[in-house]
Amino acid sequence: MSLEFDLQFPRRDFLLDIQGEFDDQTIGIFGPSGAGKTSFFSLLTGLETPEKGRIVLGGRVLTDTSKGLFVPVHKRRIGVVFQEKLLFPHLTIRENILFGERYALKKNIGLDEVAELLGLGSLLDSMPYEASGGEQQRTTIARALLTSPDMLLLDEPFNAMDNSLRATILPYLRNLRDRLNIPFLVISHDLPDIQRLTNRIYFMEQGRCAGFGNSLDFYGDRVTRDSGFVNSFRLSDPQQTAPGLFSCAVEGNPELRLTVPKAPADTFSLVVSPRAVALSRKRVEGLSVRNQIRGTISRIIQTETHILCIIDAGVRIASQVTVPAARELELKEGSEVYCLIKALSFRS
Amino acid sequence: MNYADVLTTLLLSVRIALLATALNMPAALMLVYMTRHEFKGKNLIDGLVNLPLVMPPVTTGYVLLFILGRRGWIGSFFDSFFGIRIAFTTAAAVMAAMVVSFPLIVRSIRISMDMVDPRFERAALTLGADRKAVFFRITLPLILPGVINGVVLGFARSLGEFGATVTFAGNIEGVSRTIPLSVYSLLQVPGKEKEAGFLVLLSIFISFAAMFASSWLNQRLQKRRKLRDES
Repeated sequence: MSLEFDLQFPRRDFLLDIQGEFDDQTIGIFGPSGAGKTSFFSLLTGLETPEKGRIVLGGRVLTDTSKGLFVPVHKRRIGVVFQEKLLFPHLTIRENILFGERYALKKNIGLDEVAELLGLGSLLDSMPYEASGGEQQRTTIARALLTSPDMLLLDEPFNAMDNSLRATILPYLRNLRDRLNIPFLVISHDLPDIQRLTNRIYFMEQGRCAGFGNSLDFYGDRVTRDSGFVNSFRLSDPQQTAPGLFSCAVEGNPELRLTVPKAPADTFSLVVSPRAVALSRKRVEGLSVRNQIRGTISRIIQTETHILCIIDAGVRIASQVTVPAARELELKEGSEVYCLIKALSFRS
Repeated sequence: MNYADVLTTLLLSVRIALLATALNMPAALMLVYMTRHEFKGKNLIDGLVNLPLVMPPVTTGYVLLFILGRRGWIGSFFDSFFGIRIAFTTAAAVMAAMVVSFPLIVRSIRISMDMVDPRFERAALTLGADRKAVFFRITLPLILPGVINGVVLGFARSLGEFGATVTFAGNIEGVSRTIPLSVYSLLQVPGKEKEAGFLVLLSIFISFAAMFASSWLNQRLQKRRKLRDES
């Protein structure tokens, strides 16, 4: 299922003008508040009509202004998880989840499976106001999934959630992403939130696309600056090496194993800030740092105050170092370096 | 006046009030739903609907007579083509009750409708429900307290209608002599205070029962759902 769009839609202060082609993957839509992210979703769902444009989802034309074509909202088969959750207050959690099931043409997933995947089993007979914020959020996701949509849109799913809640929703989303072969579009104004879920990011700024691709390719660019960019590692096969310490395989490089302080599941993601990645020209002995990863610098980005390096070590790792440090180490593209990452600086 | 007469009056009153409310309810729902958003001319429609609320009922009755009476614009048409007389019938009493109670029902439903967050309805649309399904599965359940309240208010107002009824439907025993008209007529005759008093008690009882039923229903609704105060 792929998505193609080309949209023009005037907003109060700017013109939303975006084009793109997405495939089955999870794609993060990142941009500051007011960049037009939510308008983009409204256009996809048909809650808003573009002034000019075309939307094709899986070969099905949903909007084409040049032909006067507009599939109404309820026939689009696009699941939406609203930022405000919008659970129907007069229905139980079960009734909420089942609301759209009767309109679905095909059935990809059932109540039992969705309740299991999202951990809602014990909650089905409660009313929405009795559920916690995270449970309401998961109910909204379940409700959207039961319509067996061709695509799932999640508008700021991590918003208004404290860190422990974020950590609980992420594994659910990853599970779903792996279970269903439909595009997931996730809006967030918080780059690390998106990076925890996917590396494919569509950057939006002032109603335009400011870049689309792997987040690392935009490291150091204006669009990711001051956004709390992180390295995200997909880890698996955790083996406990000491109490509270695990050695894990890294997706993308079968030879590499990382030592990390937690392993909440068989496969999981952990992030580490580029600032926490130190560089050394040779392997260091007598050091407390548990991870020393050999690689070559594939790209160096110079900002006013820092040097940003992208190191290719089978997986790509971003590191931020100071200008004097980079000078002293004579860091150049192609230099061989060791990335030093303390086990304890990995976060979920 | 004996008890059979009391029963006739009571049944006639309740029948007129029920019929007026039942006919008003869908009309009021439709009007509120269709005039939910701002549009040109909304104030004019609002004004027309609310007019009977501020007009003396007798003048409302006169306007009805003017339009639907035997020599009125529409009344004369019905009279000459179908031989149907509208004024001074039970149907006229129902119409009089409808016109005066309609604004009350509309107001009550509108207050509830204004509190419905349209985003719930949009969310339902994205789940595959069409507009009709959204109305019956989301909007209507959410405004139900207002609808119940409107029905009770409308019913009570219809039951108490006097001025418009007496002007447009007359005061005819068994046709349009409802409880208030009957009380008035009985008070005109010396020595009939006891019967009048009995009817007064009866109407107090019906009104009270209606109010009680409404708050009971609303409490049951509240128990089942707690309208979200947090978001």
